[in-house]
Amino acid sequence: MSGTSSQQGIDIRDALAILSERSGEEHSHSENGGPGCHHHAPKGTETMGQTINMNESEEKPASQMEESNDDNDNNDQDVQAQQEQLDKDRAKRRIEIEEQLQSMTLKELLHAVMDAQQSRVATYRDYEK
Amino acid sequence: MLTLSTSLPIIIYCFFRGLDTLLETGNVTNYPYVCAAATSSFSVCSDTINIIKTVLTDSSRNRPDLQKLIGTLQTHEKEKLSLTAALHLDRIRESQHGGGDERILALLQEAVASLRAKIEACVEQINDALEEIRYAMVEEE
Repeated sequence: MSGTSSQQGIDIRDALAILSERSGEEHSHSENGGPGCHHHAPKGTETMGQTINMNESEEKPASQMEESNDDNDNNDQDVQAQQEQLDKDRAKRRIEIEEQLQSMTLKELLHAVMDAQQSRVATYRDYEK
Repeated sequence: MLTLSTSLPIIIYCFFRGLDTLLETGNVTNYPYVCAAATSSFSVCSDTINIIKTVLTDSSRNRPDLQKLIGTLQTHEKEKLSLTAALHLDRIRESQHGGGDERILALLQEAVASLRAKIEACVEQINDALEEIRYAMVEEE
């Protein structure tokens, strides 16, 4: 088996061969003092997670940690985008409400305060009950 | 007359009950959703009142007295909401106590009673501010 391990990562054909050999079959260790057993992860790397880099042109193999970080980053970006949209909607709503309120008399404004207070009371009622 | 739209929170309330109902069922997993809906509704109310407070500072209105009154109302409402959220958490802890250390249960019950008393005090101050606003409304008629 040609070992083309280089700083750029293991050859994909070698990697696939290793995986197929490890697929639940009983194995025997090499007796000829060869490069070592291909059926276990190298010592010290048991806790390392690594995915096979299918793209030989990449300089570094992608790690599981990097992939899960990418997923988390995507989720964070989505949440941030949603929050930005909510902030924009809130600002737009504020402008619309302000324009409407500017046209109201003082009496109407005070009535609007009381209406908002009634809404608060109703919200508390539902919040508690 | 300005009408606040509360259709979405109402829909959510119908689906996710308030705290009393959640405690009766013993399942408080929907409480975050109740909070989210309440927060949304409170936010709309508060935004509207804050904008009215800003409008009252216009040179055409020039009512710093009313602006101060509304500011006082908002301060007490903010405090009431904080106390209410704390009360809810202690009520949830109390309901989930499970009959362990009696001293802890007594502390929780004491905390609940204390928060209720503070909320009542807030409500009195809110009502005082609203009474002043009603007087101002009568004067404008």
